Amino acid sequence: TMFVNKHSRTFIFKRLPRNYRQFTSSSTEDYDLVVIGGGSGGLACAKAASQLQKKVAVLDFVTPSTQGTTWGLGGTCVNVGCIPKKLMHHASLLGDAIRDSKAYGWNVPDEVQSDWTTLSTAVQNHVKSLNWGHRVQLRDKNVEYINGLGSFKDPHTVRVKESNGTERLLKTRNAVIAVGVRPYVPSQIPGAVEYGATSDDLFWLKKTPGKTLLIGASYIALECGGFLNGLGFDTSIMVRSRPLKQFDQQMAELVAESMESKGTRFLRKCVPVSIEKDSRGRLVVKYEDLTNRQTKEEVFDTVMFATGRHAVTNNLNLEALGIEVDQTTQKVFGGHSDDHERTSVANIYAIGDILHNRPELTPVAIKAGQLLADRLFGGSQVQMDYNMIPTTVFTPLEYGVVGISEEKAVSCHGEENIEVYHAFYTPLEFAVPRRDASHCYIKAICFGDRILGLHLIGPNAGEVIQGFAVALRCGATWSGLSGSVGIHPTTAEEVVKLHITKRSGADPTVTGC
Amino acid sequence: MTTSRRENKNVKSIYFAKAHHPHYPAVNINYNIQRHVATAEKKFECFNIQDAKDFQTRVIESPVPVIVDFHATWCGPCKLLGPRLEAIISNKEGQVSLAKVDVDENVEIAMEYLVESLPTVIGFKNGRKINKFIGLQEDDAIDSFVEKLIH
Repeated sequence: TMFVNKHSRTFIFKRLPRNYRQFTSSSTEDYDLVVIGGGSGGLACAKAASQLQKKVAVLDFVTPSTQGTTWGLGGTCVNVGCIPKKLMHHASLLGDAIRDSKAYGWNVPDEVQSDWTTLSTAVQNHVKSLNWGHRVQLRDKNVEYINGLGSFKDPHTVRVKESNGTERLLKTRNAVIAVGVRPYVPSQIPGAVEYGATSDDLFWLKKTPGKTLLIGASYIALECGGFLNGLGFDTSIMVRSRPLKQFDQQMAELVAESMESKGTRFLRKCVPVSIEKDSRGRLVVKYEDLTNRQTKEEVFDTVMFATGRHAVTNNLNLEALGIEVDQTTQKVFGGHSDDHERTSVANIYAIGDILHNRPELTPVAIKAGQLLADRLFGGSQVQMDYNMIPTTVFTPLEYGVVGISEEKAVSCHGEENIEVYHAFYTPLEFAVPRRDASHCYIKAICFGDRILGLHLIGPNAGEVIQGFAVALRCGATWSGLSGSVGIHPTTAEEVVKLHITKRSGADPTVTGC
Repeated sequence: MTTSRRENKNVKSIYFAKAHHPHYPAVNINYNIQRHVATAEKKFECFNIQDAKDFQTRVIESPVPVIVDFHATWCGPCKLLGPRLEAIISNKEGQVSLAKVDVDENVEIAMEYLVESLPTVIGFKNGRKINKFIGLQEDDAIDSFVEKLIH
């Protein structure tokens, strides 16, 4: 017999057993699940399904950004979202720490500079190690990984076009759309697509960002603007109306003010008109001040658009299958047949950022994916609970929140039925270097003994709010919260020490112990 | 009791010997300095694997044993291990070759040999995997690993 190893492509046909599958472009194997999108949601769903002994494939493909940036397996969070963002946020906080350390007796130079190349290389190396980690995990969990662009031929057939051009047809019982969203750049603004970077590019920038303009008022604009400013770059944020429109407005204003106090310039009520390149390669931005209709001009090294994230579903062929999408955002509608993630086609589901009207958060996508796999293959009936999902805006002074905003509480229950307990506090560590703590603020929005929302601005807000979010999910009440004993000295204890109401009009500033 | 500086292989140490004859000057005796000598003559085969076919011909079908260094550009310890491997293997007078596999460029090969953490070093002889170690190692450990593969 001829020795055939897996590297050779020759076969002797008459020696093949009868049922041997020939190597063709279409696979006749049946999958239990094909997941389109290898991000937080897609990978979690695929791995969970594989744990239940199912045949799973995950497709992942990154269409390069407007500036040509591309990345590996893992989705937005790993490559151009949460992970690099948090690392750079931390890098900028270290700058503050070095400056504060003088007051604490450390012998540090008066001026410290950050080196973008060192930072971005370290961040990118970590991201690449995570890409690798995900590849290894998929192999360990027996999930087939295909680097290709997926689309639907019919509800049970996914066509995948690999980067080398080969096409495969995957027959599958179920499919999950987990393609996420991508930054939207307003193409009607001359020069925007040509010269504007987005969060897709920022973390992979080879050259230093220099003097940067961020256009947008979302958490992406504020978080990126925040760390760029902290790293020493001249940073401006152009906001059309108000910062953080999706969040509690009082907290949003405090966050913006805290950033302004650290030197970030907000160009409020301004909109970009055009972007051009000058002879030195810098970007000339013409913008309009909406208050007085004046057009102004300024030169920047980098312009980053953070003007929303849209679904890119036109290549999925959803229309042909009758999968309904929202007309404005192109996001996929879930909620069919009482299943939060089921689309209008019975065996096709959507999870993560692509799912219409659900929080765009990694842990939400992961949990929804895992629960979906359990329902599809594990006999579970448990639906994803999209209520009381905590999150944090990682601006230099972080804003952590679980529950609803004060505006929403008032509109749902009426102002007279809502009690808001609040406090301005000073983290102990701020006292010695005399750091500005005027934006450190907490409020708990209560309806009787029920806590509807807990909002906190302060250092490590993300770490602090996590525990309280669990408490609220377990039914913690206002009396339970305020009856709890604090840990001293922390900023978290200020949450359980809340007692001054907005209604009383009393000064909510926390004094001494 | 601490290991004397003489026994610690990673420490560069220079001792001055007293002149043993008035006509001969004091001599510097160098102990335990790692030599990274670039010479024109190739003392051993060291190559980067390009693809699966390359791996097949130069590792699986190699007449001499091959040490395969699975590494990545983003891996810090890999950058430290590389030179150590080269230095040690260069002293084996061609009895063993060194193949370098960048796991990002050769994912399939890395997957096939179940590489997870980096660096992973696998010793091949007669087309089969003989031994392996994971992570940055001290020179003694690397040396005994290489010796085990050769003999």
